[in-house]
Amino acid sequence: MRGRLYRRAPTQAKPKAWYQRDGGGRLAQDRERIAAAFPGLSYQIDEQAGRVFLEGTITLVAECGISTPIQVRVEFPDDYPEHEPRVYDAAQRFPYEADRHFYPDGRCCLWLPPESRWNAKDPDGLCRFLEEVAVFLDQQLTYEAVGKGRWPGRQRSHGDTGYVEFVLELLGGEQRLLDALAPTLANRSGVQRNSPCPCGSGMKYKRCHLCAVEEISRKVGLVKLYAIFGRWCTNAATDTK
Amino acid sequence: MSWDKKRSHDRIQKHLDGMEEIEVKKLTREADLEQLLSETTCRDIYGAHVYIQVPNFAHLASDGLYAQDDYKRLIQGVHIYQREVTHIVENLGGTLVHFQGPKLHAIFYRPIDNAKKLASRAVLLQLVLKDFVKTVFNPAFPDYDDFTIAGGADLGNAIGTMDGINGDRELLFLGAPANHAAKIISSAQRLRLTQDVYDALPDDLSALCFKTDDGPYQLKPIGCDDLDELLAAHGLTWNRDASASNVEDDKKHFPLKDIGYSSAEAPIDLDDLSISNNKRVLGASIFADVSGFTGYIDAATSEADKQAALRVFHAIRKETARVITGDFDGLRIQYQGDRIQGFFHLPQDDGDAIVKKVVEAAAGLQSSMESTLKACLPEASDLRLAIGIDLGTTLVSKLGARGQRDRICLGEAVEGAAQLEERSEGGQTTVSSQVHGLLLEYLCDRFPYSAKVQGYVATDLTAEQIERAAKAAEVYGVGAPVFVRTGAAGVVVSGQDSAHARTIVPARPYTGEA
Repeated sequence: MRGRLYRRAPTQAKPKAWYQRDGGGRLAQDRERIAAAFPGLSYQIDEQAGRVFLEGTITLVAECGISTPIQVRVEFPDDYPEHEPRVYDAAQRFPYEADRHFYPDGRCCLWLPPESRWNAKDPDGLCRFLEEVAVFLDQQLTYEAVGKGRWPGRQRSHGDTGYVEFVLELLGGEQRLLDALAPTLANRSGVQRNSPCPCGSGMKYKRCHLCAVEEISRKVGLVKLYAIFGRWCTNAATDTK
Repeated sequence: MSWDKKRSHDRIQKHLDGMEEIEVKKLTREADLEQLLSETTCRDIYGAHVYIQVPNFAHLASDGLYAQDDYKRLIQGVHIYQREVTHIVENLGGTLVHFQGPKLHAIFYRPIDNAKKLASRAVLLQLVLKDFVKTVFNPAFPDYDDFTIAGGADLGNAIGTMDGINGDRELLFLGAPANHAAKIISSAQRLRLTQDVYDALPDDLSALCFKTDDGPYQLKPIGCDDLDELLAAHGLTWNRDASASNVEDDKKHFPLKDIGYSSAEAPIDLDDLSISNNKRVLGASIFADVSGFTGYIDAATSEADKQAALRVFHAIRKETARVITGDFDGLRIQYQGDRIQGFFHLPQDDGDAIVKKVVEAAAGLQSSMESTLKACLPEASDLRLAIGIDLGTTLVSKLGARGQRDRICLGEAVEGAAQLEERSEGGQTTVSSQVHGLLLEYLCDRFPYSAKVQGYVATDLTAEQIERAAKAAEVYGVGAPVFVRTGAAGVVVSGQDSAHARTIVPARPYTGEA
């Protein structure tokens, strides 16, 4: 009973790094799986900074047996495994160009964040993630082999356009619908649950596209969605003028 | 079959492990080279190398002849030409190395180290063969436009070796003179020689030469009487009438009715070819030359260096043949020094399939050179392959008598492929416009046109790149899933499912603001 009168004082101790939590269980588990599936990679721990890196080579082997080792560096966020790691081309094997889906610092642009394949709950998630990285690197080598200057396979457009493409797909590819809902997605329409749906169906918004807009908001994130469609609406208005 | 790194590596290593110590000595006494030389018994031979080309044959074998008898007469002509030219070479004291299609390669090395006599005989052979074609061969085959010849000769040291076993043995010469003699051949009707040959000539023969603008010396035309006088002055004979008689006898011995040619209903068996069984097929000719090898072998001055160079040569020679014949079911026509000639055809004359196969074979050859030969033989690290490929109607035949037979391919595509290879640099694979037009769409961009090479050139084409280009079109390009296998050997991302592979539909990469 007495304890109720006291609140625990905020700790002054530095919070544990992710790899130290749960007795380092996640790191040990990942380490074992990585050693079997990607033996060219090894963990580097920077105790001072409380960071862990996975460094080394992913060796891609063609069916004919020719192998291509690629130096990579995997950085883990502080809230790993809640959020996905970042992967870098560590030895500048590829040109860091947007069309090759690299950021200027060599980070691989694997996917649009709402389309991330990272599964925080999968104990084998890091291996699954690195397999996706291997496919990305294989596409890089294929890009070079074909010599067309064109990405082999499907890709998203850069910047806002990539998100708009994603939203358009969620809306069944109907451009008319996207145009009608864009102000709502940008939080500029002021539409209420019981208002007529902006799509022009004549139904109440809550019975028409509210669910779709909520799903889009959940996947993209409200802040990002408002920003992207805010710019999109502004540009559309400018184009109309 | 296709090229496989492990298989390639294993067979190269096995060949090297089984190779006996190579002996390279200077040839100091007259000997029958066919008997003396082997893969491991090699000789440094001072001699005069002569090449004689008859350009007309190639054109006629491709598209020049449509009537059946005309084509049979061409086959008859090629065989009779080869028989009589072989006699002439032997009568003048030379040794037939081989016929590269219609192109003769002969060497004079007797008397040993006698530069004057060797050079004289090389020049006289050129003059005799020009006279033979003009006064004997053309009158014997009046149905065709006059045949003409072009020649080249060089003098110096080259290493003689031999490949193969039993009836499938070929004399091979490595070194500058064996190479330069072929390279100085220009257009028809010109007989040329290098400075070294010219310097060794006696006055009566050097007086017949003049220096050309582009380097080599050229022989002036001479009349029959002058030629006879020169031969007599050098203690040699060639009887024009006897040659004419031989040709007529051969025409009777090989009448048109006994000469056969057909398309190929099944893969060509080179052992079955003869004057009565020739093949006229649509096929792709491929030439692969070890760029820089002549310089490499000429730079080898000590016996140990020469042994090392020959070990490299034999490993490359054997591996390139295995890629063509074993990995891709092609025909190895001939080794020509450090160059290999191959031929690809399919019974249905299916141009698209032939092109696909020959380009894959070229990538296999480049892969062997870059990935496995260099891994087994680090001393070969500077060597690269230059490859030329052309497609066209080709006569495939076999010339010569038992024990010394040359497989030949005649046709403009053969000459075209050889020229593309000669203009290519190490690491380049060049195809003609005919081949480029039939390339699979996903490979076309790998072969941009090069005005310098006058062909479509892929640089550093490997089996891996062919595989990736196919994957781009057939897997990534259509949004199909890939199958990912991880493990100690690395990661395989394949279009084909396999045990323990995980199926992944490739993500759509996206680049936002940094």
